[in-house]
Amino acid sequence: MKHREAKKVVNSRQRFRQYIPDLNDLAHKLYVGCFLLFIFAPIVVTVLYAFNSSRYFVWPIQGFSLEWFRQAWHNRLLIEAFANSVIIALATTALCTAIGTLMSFGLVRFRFRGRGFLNILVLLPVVTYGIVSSISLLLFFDMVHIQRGIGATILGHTTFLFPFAVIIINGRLTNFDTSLEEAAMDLGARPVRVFFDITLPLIMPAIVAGALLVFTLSFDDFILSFFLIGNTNTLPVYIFGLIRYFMTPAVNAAATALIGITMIFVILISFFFREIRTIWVGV
Amino acid sequence: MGGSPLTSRTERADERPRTPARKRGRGKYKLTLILLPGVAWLFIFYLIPTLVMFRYSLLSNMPHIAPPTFTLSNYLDAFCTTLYAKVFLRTARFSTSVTAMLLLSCFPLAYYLAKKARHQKEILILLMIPFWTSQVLRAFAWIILLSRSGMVNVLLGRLHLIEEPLRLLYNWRAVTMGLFYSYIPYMILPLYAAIGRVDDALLEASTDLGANSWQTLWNVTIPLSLPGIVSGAALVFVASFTDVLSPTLLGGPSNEMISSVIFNTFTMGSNWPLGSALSFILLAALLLAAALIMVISSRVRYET
Amino acid sequence: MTTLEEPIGQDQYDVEVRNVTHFYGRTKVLDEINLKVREGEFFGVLGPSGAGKTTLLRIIGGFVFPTMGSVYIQNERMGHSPPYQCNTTMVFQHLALFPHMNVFDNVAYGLKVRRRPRKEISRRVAEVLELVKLTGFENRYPKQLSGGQQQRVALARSIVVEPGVVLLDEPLGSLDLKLRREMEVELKNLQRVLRTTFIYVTHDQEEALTMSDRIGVINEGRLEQMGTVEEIYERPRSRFVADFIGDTNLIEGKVESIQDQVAALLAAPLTFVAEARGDFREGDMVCLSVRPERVRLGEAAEACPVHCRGIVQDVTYTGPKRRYLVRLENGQTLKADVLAGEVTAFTVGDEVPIGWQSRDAYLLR
Repeated sequence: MKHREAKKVVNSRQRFRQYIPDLNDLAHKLYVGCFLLFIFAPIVVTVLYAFNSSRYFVWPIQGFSLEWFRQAWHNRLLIEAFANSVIIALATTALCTAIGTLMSFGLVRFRFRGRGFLNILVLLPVVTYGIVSSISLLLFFDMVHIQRGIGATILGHTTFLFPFAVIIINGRLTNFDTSLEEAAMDLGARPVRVFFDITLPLIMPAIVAGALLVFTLSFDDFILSFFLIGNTNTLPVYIFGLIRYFMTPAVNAAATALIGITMIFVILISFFFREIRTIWVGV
Repeated sequence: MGGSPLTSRTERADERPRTPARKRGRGKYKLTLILLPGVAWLFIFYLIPTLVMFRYSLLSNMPHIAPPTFTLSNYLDAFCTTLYAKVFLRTARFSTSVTAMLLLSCFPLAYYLAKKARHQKEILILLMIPFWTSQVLRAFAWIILLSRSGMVNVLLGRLHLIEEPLRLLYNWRAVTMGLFYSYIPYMILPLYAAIGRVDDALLEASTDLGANSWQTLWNVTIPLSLPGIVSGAALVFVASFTDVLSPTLLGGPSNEMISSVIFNTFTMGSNWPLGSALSFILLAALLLAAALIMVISSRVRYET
Repeated sequence: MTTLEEPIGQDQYDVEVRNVTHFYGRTKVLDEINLKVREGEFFGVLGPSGAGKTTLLRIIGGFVFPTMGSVYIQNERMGHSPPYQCNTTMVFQHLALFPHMNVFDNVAYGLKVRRRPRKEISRRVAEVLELVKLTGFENRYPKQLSGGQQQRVALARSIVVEPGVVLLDEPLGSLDLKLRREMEVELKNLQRVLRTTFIYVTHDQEEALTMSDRIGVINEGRLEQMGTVEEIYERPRSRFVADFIGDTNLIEGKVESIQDQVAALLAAPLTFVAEARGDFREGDMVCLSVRPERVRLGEAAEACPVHCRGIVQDVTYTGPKRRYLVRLENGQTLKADVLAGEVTAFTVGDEVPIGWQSRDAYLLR
């Protein structure tokens, strides 16, 4: 509150030097508004075209139709790709949460030589995520004769997404008040009990946030999935194929479905927004 | 009991050893067990594949054609052929221009959000929503928007700004737009965090001493938010450098960036060893850039 | 280093610390601590910040295993017992209330862990909440409570399991003064009712002096003195204790002569006579301690066996008393506290007689 008053004083001082402080603020707001419009436009347009009755991507929309959704629904390949995406994302989330939590504990609660090195190592996959990593995994699986497919994709996703879980859980764990655990032990609880009664409940928000993030990133992933999925598809890979070779608004329908699902997760994540912010601020 | 992560006895690592060797061993054993899954995973699925890729890049030809030999010819090709040098340069040009554009356009936004807006968190979430969707979708959306009868052209035509539809797709314009759009969050978030950390009192002090808004911006805000500017720019540059989708879906054959070249090598072409070599060079460049960024970031920090 | 001898039989000690020396890395944090706490006693551990008091408490509580020495609780030696096997509970400095549990669950936690039947738990929690005057707060969460209320929950949680010893680590530090004084009284009463041994660590001497039956003064890892409040105040055994507890004047000097526990201290050009308990010898460089409230000015001073003259440097009025700073011939400045009611109207620059009874001054190292 005090701050805002101070700002008002400053602004009124400026008023005497420049006559248009309000306009400044207004211009700013306009800028933000336009930016938001710019950011949402592509998504909105994509969804809009899913309802377009015309086959072509002309503007304006010709008519309203749910035809494309019907086509998408009956598209076996599309459904299969969707199912694959879900399976892969779920498996990846489970693995990443498990590995990530363990890793985070190891890095935060213990002091050992090479801890700094390990901290950096854990972040490397995030840095090199992209075509380079996909290629290396492709060649690796080829060499050890692991078949491309859902399994390989799960392995690939986990490798590059569990660092995200580690980062988020680290955030909670480093600020954890260990005297709470001491108090529990002091009252007679053994270490295992302390972990389940005290530690786990208190870091649960971070674990959940990490899981949601990993799920979303896995579901939306293209580059790793493309090289590792082999004969079948994940949803983004399938849509990529459609874009390249066969564009109809059915693609938009699929896209809309993808957007819809992602939105649900974003809303869920926004409840745990605090946890997510730590990744970016950390970076 | 010995080295449980839940007791303060982990401090014992620094104390004169008083625990019998058996208990000491158990502590280390627990640590190894906890770290093993993650470390083993990284080793098997991250480090080894990188080495595999390196080995592959040293092969003379694809293994299934004929038994290959080891050679550096792929690297020679990569470095000495003007083709690849051109691609690298072009990629660098794209990345640089996109970084500059993002920096200029996102700074005012981040500034407003960090300093003046009242519903910071809500607007931020709103901004982030479109970016949770898959990159494929975003590239696709731009294809729709930028096509000859797409919304942009139609709008410009209606406003009578152009006579016939602009060719916006499958050229450098589309690629730049695609890259710009994709990496907005990578620029906004670090900037927002850094500007937010600049103490309001400093800005007020500056105005109090007689500086106008622009002077305060140039002399106080920007220098103090330099860490964020550096990390944002670095992130965008590195990420856009390795971007595959924008050049592949939105670009033409003359706009290939290094990642799309590698991509094509592995999907359409057959010279995987060469592709691996290019990949490895890209990896090395990435790691170098990351290291450089860390060094610059630590130098640029002002301790308040 | 040494302790007072306790002339009481051994079976009445609840807590015994024997020769505990503790290192943290290469730093010696505790140096041969020996102390004994009687059953049902309110024992205060007093010392400046960083003296090692919290470490000592944590050793007694089982959180830290001492590098050397051992701790006995109710005559049982504590080996490598972790906190959950010790018969002690601790009230932490920042309370450590479980934020994700309400008051009832926090207090009931120790009982739940001990697998007590639900009815018993409800009964005991209700009893203890009544004791700390928090009946009706069962469903509140820690963050909905005030500082004082949180204190009481932490306390309730620790005593509901009926431990042998309750350890308190400066729990009142975060409260404001008035609340602190109130809580001190409540704590003391609670302890009397429960008759459980309390070991209370603090750096606030008023707290320690108010609540404790006996006090142990710790400085830089060493136990300086142990005894009742009165003993510590009236008969400090070291310069540190004299200076740390209450306020005192310290006059440096050399022992000129000593006979029958009475010494003459030369603080040139003045000589003072003082009590000298302990082994002092001629030539020792020691100091003389006399508390400001025992220093007399004016006529009262002239009536004292020990007196000289000095010049008033400063007068401060602090409500209940006036503090005079008087400079002696040898350059030293002494503090003299005179009750404001007494008639002494000296001002800055006056030359005044200043003195004290010989039994009020003693020699210390």
